[in-house]
Amino acid sequence: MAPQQQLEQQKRSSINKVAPEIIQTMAQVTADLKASGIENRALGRGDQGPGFTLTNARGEEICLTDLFSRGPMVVNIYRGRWCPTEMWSYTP
Amino acid sequence: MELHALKEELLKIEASGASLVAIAPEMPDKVAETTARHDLQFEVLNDQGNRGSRQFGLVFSLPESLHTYAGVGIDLPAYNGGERFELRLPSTDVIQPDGQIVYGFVDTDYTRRMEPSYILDALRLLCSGLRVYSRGRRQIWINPNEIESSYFV
Repeated sequence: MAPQQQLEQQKRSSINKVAPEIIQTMAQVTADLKASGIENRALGRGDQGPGFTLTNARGEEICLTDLFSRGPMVVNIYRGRWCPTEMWSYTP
Repeated sequence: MELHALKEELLKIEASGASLVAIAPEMPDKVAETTARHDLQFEVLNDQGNRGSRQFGLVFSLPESLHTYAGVGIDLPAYNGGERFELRLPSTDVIQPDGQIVYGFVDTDYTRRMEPSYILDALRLLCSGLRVYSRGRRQIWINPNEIESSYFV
């Protein structure tokens, strides 16, 4: 199943488990966020990727610019475990 | 979902000659735990306090109406480090060696994701030696070896 289809299915099944007022609040927050224009302010195609340095799981410092220079790269920024769509995958 | 899906796509990404880096919001021990639990073969960087994702323009404050979210089994400030109820939008970017973003996906709706096939298409072009030349958000693919430098004068 395609990832988007999987998400749609999870979305439908989760709606039955969560209180309606929470669903409503989250829909409002999502709408407000969209209206804030954050998607247009975020970096996108044609922009230069930032070259910050962060540590990896072994505590080593990794500079993004160095990673880029090694070849084509996918950078995935994810929300973390709190995200409902990601928590499902953490269930054993 | 996302890390899990990426893990499956990783083989295809590596086959194309590109690599993957994930930027996680969690505290250091959580990053190690996540990496070990999923047997992740790609680099997972610790972005405590959203230092990196802020530079991508992805950070926003969680409205008070959703602070109770932290009560649903997750203590957000403790988990991500810091006092603030800050979150970031998820994003996926394909970046070419000069650091330019060739393809990017960011969406405020947390139930939507870019289809991995879009990433793979861009990676295949990059790995075949093509590069993107951009003006604003308009792009053309070029083969740097076939372009006369005078084109850009």
